[in-house]
Amino acid sequence: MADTEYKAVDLSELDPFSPVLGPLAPNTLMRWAPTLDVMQAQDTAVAGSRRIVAWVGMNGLTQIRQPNSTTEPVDEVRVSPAIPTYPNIDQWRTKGEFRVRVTPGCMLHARCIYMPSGMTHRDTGAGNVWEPAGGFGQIRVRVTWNGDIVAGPNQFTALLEPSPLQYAQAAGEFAAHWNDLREVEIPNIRPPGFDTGAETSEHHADTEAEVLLQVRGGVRDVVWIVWEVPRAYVFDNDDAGPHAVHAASAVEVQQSPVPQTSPADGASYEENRFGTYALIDTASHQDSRLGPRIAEWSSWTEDANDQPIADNNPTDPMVQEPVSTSSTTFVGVADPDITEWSVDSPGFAVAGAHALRHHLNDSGLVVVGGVRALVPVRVWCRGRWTDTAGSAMGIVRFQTSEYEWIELEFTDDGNAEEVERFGYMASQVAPDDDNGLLIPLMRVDAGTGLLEVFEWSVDWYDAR
Amino acid sequence: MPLRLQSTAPQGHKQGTIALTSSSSGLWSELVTDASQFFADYTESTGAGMFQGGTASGRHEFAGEWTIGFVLDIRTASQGYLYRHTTADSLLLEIDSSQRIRCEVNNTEVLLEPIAGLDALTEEHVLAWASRANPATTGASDARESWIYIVNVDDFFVQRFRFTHAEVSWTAGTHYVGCASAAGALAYNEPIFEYFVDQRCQTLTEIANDWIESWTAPATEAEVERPPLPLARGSGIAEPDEFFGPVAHWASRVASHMKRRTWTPLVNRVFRSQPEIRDISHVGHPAFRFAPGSSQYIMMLGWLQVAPVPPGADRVRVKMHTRQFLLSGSAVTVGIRIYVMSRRPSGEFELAGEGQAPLEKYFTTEESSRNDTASGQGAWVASDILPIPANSDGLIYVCPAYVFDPDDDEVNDLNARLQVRALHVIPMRGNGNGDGGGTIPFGGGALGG
Repeated sequence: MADTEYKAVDLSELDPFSPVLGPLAPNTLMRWAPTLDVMQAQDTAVAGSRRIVAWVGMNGLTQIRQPNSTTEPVDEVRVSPAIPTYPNIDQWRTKGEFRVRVTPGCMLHARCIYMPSGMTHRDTGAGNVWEPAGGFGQIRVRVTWNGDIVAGPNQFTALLEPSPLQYAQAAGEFAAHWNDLREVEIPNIRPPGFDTGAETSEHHADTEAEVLLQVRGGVRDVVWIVWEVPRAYVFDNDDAGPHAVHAASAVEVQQSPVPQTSPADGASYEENRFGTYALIDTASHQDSRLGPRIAEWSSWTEDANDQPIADNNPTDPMVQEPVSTSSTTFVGVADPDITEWSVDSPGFAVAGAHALRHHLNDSGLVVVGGVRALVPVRVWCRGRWTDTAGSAMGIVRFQTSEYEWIELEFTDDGNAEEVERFGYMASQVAPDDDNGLLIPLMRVDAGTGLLEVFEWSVDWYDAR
Repeated sequence: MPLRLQSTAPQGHKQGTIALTSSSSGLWSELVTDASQFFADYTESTGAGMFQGGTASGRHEFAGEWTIGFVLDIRTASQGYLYRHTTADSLLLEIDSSQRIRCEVNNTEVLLEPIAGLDALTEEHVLAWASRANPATTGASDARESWIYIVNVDDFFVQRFRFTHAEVSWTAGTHYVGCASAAGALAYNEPIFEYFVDQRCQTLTEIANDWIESWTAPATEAEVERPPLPLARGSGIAEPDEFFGPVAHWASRVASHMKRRTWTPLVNRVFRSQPEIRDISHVGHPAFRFAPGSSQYIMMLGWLQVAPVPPGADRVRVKMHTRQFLLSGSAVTVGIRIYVMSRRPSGEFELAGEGQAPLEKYFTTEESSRNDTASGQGAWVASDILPIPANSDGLIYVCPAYVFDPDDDEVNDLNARLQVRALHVIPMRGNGNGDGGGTIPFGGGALGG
């Protein structure tokens, strides 16, 4: 008999569809054809994911942080701070860190729109002497996979074209940036062994990822996104754990006419993909597991006033400069001009209309009439609260309606913290309504203190 | 069990409701009548409050989630016990003499927080304690996660307190509502109008929908799958039937609900930088260009976005948030567009290069002469539904564009400013109404070509 230890389905070419219902009506015998339709439809559900999970870029600014000198770069002596005019060609800098619960069976894919890279400096090693190192730029996606087993961090890099202009400049006339755009992709961002060994694949078929977007040299990135691409879903062929897909076989197998958990004479032993038990188990898991990426944000800015060029942060070049507040009343994290939630203020869409759970949204019982909607979420945020005099903590509030918000408390005086919390967010009821507007707010609780926020991610996540 | 009451009665009558009493005048003699599916009436305490003993009390020893709620008057002098499960205080909810919410679990205080915004005169409030197993528990001491919700129904001031505590060790016995004993000790000193208990952890949105506000369902031009049945292994019609047809039928229904489950906004941005754009910002500036096909509207590179389109999506809902204001002088109209394109625009005339498909684009336009004087002001504009370019090859490119004084008939253009603050592009599938209708992308007047 065939080895049935692991079952896999290739997700890359699948399009979601709806199976027919009629042949599965009550009081009908178990039959293979309509059941197979359902199983294959279950396989296609996760293959529909194109969720964007991370992004950085110019982000609204009219200029790129990379200096654009019109004079010849020269050797420089820089002591305190040891920062030359152009970025250190050897130093990776982080533009954002994101947390995502990857859709089962998906890998990641990055695409960057950029302008040719600018001038760099290199440390000569001769005591704070920096020499010009030419036009150079590189981006990388650095991922740690926290599935059943931890893998990484793995680095996936792409070299960007340097500017051919004098001193690696960017062209300066009207529309010149637009006419000089390039695009680069980083495909196949996945854990090592993801597509070679079934056992390894199984551990990462349903995984969490820490995603860092990093640059080195004179990068001029315009917008840079990372999204999910369906790859393959693999699971150990037993009935111990939940299955996000069915891995249905297209081969017709003689089925028993009675209800069953597995075929009496299946294609192989230990065949747990068959039967109505696996069918409802997969449906149940999909209902509790599949949802959109809600939102994510990094404090990175191309604004020279906020972000030093060579080291993002004087104490840790791998961390970007945060946004901060000393206010004891709320101010916006993403938009500092906001002081309270309002549906009329700028915020992020909570686009959960296609992923509403029955126990939160049933329009006949829970929220009557389908007038409002809620989605379950996990919020992750990195921040640092510092007490100066009598401050109790720093608070970041993720508010999505007049009634719904989730607050994260930062209490470790002077140290960066990662805080995570589960809760509910008001969501769109339909993809074209104005419900479910996420406005992140921050404040210091009492006294005098400072709260800094580096980045945050919100996942659709049912912890129930 | 009177199931009809659950399915036809509005608001608080729900499948998990185990206690529900009501009195429009706050009379205890009326509040004792239980309208829940148990029809287990309370007994009026001496003076004020009510209680329940025996098996009727036992159903309050919840195994899982719970919500205990009240519609009641509160003012700056309000105090007293609201909910007490047995004199051993397995569960206790009170407003103390300093008008603080105080909760006890297993005779241990787990929350003490002041109620803000109280007035000397009574105001109607909704107060609820919702609890569930803590998904992030670290041990026995925080095995449960609870919230206290307090909403002033007069001015909609909302307070939420989250706290964690141990699992409840239930002590069998009498439980009390609005007082601490059958003799009416420590009774709550204001009227209670509604009291309900549900064996689910309700969200404040659900409570608001039931007891506070009446909302209208939003109109939509999108096809939306409603939440599927709460299918689970144990939720067969009955255990012996677990593997029969209806369950397979359910599974099939769930499968059809799943196909758009992962649809995520293609663009979901609050721009980190919101420079003040003016009528001459683009002059000689490399980050600005005219929008493709336009000699008026101007795009800025920092707004350009790219995104993958999920299979099955045929429309996007776009909108953006802008602030526009005047330094001085007369009103200036600002035109705003959101472009959805099959590729990034390049080249002056957008002619297709070798191996390059023609640029396919759609846009929506809105003109406004608002003056958002304060820095926090602004409005969502250019909200519309646009087709996804057919030759986009799985990716679409999105960029806002603007023009000051589109009709060129205003005199104060140089004193006008524009900030682009947020941009949303959300995938959808049209349901046949409005711009969401049809499959050929030439529907509404807002579409450009």
